[in-house]
Amino acid sequence: MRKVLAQGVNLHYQQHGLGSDVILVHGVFSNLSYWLLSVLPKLVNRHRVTIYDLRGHGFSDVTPTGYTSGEMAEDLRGLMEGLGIERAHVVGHSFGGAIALHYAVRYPGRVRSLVIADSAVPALRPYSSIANWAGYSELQKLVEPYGVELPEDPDRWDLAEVLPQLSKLPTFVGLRQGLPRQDRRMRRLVANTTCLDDLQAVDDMTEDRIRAVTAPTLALYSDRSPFIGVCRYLEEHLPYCRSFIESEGDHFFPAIAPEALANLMLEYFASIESQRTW
Amino acid sequence: MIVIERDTVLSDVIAILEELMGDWERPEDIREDSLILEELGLESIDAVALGTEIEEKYQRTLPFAQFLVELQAQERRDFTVGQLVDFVTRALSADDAAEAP
Repeated sequence: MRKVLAQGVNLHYQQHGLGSDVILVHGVFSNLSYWLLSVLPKLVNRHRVTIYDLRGHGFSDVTPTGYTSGEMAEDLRGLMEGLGIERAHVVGHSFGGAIALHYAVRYPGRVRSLVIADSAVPALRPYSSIANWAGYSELQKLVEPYGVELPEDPDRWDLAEVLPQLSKLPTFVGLRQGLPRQDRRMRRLVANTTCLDDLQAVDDMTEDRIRAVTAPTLALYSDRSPFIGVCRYLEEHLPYCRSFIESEGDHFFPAIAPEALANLMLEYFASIESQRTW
Repeated sequence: MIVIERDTVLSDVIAILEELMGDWERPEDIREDSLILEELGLESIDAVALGTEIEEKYQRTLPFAQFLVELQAQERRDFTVGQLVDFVTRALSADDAAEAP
C-alpha cells in the first residue's frame, strides 16, 4: 500500500497509466475505489492518473480535525509535491469538487484544468436552490422502503441526523452492491472528527475568489442534482467555465455511467492540451 | 522454478487480511470458508487494498479484474478466502510456468 506524507498526514494513493497528469478527488464518505472501479481504467491509456483517499477516508490517516475544503486543498498540494506532480487536470466529485476548486483558488499555476462533478461549494450554498431539488421526491421514494425518513424540506437537512439513517440502505455501487452497507468508516468519521462541521467552512474560498478562478473549468452536474444552482453559478461567473448536464444517473453518476464520463473527460483534457477553444 | 504452495498462499492471505482489518470489530475468526464481503465485512476499498497487498507480497501483477468478471459470470457477488487463495495460487503458478525456461 503506497502512502505519501502531506501536512503530516499519511495519504493512501495509487497511480496508474502514462501521459499528462490527472488527479481524481473523491467526496466525503467515499474513497479511491470510487474512481478505481469506474472511470480510471478508461483514462490510463492517455493519462497518468492519481487517485487517493482523503484524510479520514479509506486507508489515509484519520485526524480529529482538518476536513475543510481549504485544509484538504493543502493536503492535495502536499500529495502533488510528494509525488513530483507540478501541474494536473484536477477532477473532484461532490465535496472533492469543492476541494479541487479551493486548490485552484489558492494555486492557479498548478491546475491545468478543473472538472467539478456535482459539487456543493460552501460559499455558494445560497445559490444551490436545494429547495427546488428536482430529484428529491425520487430520492424519498427510493429510501422509504428501507425505513429511511427524509425531512420534507431538503434545505433543512441536518447531516448528523440523516446520515445514521443511511446505514439502513443497501450499498448501491461498488463490490458490495446489493449487500448491507458497511458503514464503519462513516460512523468513525462522524463520531471522532469535525468532518461534518468542516464541510460548511468558507475560509478563503469566498464568492469573489471563486469568480476569479481562471483555470478552464468543466462543471458536470446531474439534471437531478440538489446542487444544480451551483452549476449555473459557476458557468455564469467563472471566466472559462462551461457546463455539461448529465441525464443518466444522479449525484453518483461517475459510478453509474463511467463510460460516458470518461469519454467526456478525455475529450475535455485533449481540447485543453491542444488549446482548442471549445 | 518457484513452486507456490497453496497452504503458504492461504496463510499469507489470512495474515494480510488480519493486518488490513486491524482493530475493526469482527464477528469471527478469518477462515478458509469466510465470505469476504458478507462475513468479514470488507468494503470495495478493503478489497482493493487486499489485492494490492497480495501483489506486493508476491511481486506480481495479478488478474483480479478477471477474477471479478468470473464471479459475475457465475452470478455470485461474494467470494470466500479459500476461493481467493485458489485464484492467487493458480495465477502465481501460471506466471511461474510462463517464466520457466
